[in-house]
Amino acid sequence: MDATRRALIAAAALAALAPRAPRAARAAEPAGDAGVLTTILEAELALAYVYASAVASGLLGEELAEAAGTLAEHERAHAAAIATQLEALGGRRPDPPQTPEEADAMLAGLGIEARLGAVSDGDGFLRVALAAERVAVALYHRAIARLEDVRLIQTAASIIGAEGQHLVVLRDAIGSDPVPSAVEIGQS
Amino acid sequence: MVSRRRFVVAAAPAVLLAGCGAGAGEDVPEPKTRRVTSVQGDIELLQGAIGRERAELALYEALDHDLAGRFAEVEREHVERLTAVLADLEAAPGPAQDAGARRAGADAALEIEGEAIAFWLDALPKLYDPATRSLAAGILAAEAEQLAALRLALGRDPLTEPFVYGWTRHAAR
Repeated sequence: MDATRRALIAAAALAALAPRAPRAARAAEPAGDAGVLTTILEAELALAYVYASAVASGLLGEELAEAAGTLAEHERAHAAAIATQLEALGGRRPDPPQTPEEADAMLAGLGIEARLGAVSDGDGFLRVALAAERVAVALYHRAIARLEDVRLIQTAASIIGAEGQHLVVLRDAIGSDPVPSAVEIGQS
Repeated sequence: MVSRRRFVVAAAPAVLLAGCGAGAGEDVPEPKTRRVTSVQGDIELLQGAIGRERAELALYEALDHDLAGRFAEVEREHVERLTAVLADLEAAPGPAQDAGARRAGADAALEIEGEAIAFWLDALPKLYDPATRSLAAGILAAEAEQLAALRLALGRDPLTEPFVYGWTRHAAR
């Protein structure tokens, strides 16, 4: 690899990280239910951005673009519900990503390796969305065991079902088994 | 001998109250934001759940559909996993739920999946043991996936609403 290419990759990596510090380095990470909700909200915001980008790209077929539009609406509804409950607990809602780089930084902060910046076709969007949905399911799955407030548990339960249904649509679109596990725990 | 899970679950309410400093003359946590069920509540919910899962299994075993065999496997695993939790709690599974006059058609499968989602959504906040709640969340998600996959296979919209509530909120219709 030549020096110019290395420099470009390094610059891209820095740009992707610039808008947000890594999760581990953030100051005053909220604890308890608020902390759980903050991480979940980041996943919802990233997913909403991924689906909106997929629709705007024109790279999906008509049917998939329509589904992606619905999925974006779902994620925005989830984000709104979680943000309301986070603020009721005194937490601060994270800023939604405004650019692919900010979305990729948010995905990276959640431990998701797939990147919007690397997408060049419709399948690429589906694979980024699939990776992010699996992490979202895992976050809700863990949250339901950890949350203290029963109302939050109920909200999380109604959303984990919806995220599971999103997985079915994405798996069907890429031709994989729509229900591969009897107990859906996503992927951390 | 009391199993470890049973001991931990039974002891948890006392630890929780001690941790909150609740005692005579002191404020106790707001009831509506606290789970008040304990091990016996978990047992009763799980016994009901197994009866429901068995009814789903029977329906898929009788259903003539491409997804039926795979979904029967899913329901069988739910029964096995829930039975194992109950065994750890030294309790027996409840009787199989009467599926009534439900016919083994695709609409019946949509209906029973919607009912299962509604059941688990109601049960989840009532489950005391976090590990059991975690398993229940994974089962709920799988039931929601089955509902979407069935709808997809039937040429219907798999994404009916952003919050899944089950048949009581027309998701299965």
